[in-house]
Amino acid sequence: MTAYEPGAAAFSHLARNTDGHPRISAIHAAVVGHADEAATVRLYLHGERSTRNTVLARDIGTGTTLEQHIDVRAVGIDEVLRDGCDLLKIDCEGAEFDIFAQVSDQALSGVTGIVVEFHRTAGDPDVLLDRLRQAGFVAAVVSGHAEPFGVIGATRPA
Amino acid sequence: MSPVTALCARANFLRIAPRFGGVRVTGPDPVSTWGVCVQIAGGEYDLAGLRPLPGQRVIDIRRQYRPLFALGRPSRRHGRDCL
Repeated sequence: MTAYEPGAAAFSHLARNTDGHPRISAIHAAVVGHADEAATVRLYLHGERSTRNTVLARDIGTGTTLEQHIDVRAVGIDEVLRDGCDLLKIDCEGAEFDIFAQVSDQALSGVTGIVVEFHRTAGDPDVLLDRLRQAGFVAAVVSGHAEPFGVIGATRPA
Repeated sequence: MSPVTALCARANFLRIAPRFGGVRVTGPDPVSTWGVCVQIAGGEYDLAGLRPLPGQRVIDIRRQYRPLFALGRPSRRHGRDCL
């Protein structure tokens, strides 16, 4: 398993919580749609809830503007998927729309299954469904049909 | 989620770090840490056809200190350990 986390504090806990699991690689970086080598991205910090840190400049739940930020290393989604995977899980507080807008068909061709959380304050989940179906997945909203956020599951046709 | 952790969650007692899959989980703030653990214990990401199997390659992007638990729980429940 390879896990990506851009926040410094969260990453330190990730490393601690997965210590002793040799098959887990923890990488301190933000995954974005496209990134050149040595690129960085601005991560906006939520004052109270670390899980709401986001590359968008607003609280993903309330829309409130976020001011405090740090710059973190960025990795493009195609680079992340270079070797393919059986399962890709994405929960990135609104960045999912940038990621799926820029991921290549070739990168997606190496992925068997996808679980992605979407946030309606950042975009329309139908855009993600269309992209996944265009890449050959059977995709559907599995939770959050009418909520501000939910989950899409995508698998390859049987 | 351990019985003590489940009891703490029910009592909203957040000062004790939760244990999940036998591992003490820490995070930058207790509300977020407990929140993700309770979500995962409740079945978040436990989706038919999307449960990792032993030896499979999994990529987990963001909201960490939980990836191990998000993906480990469904597998353990089905008698497997994907890690």
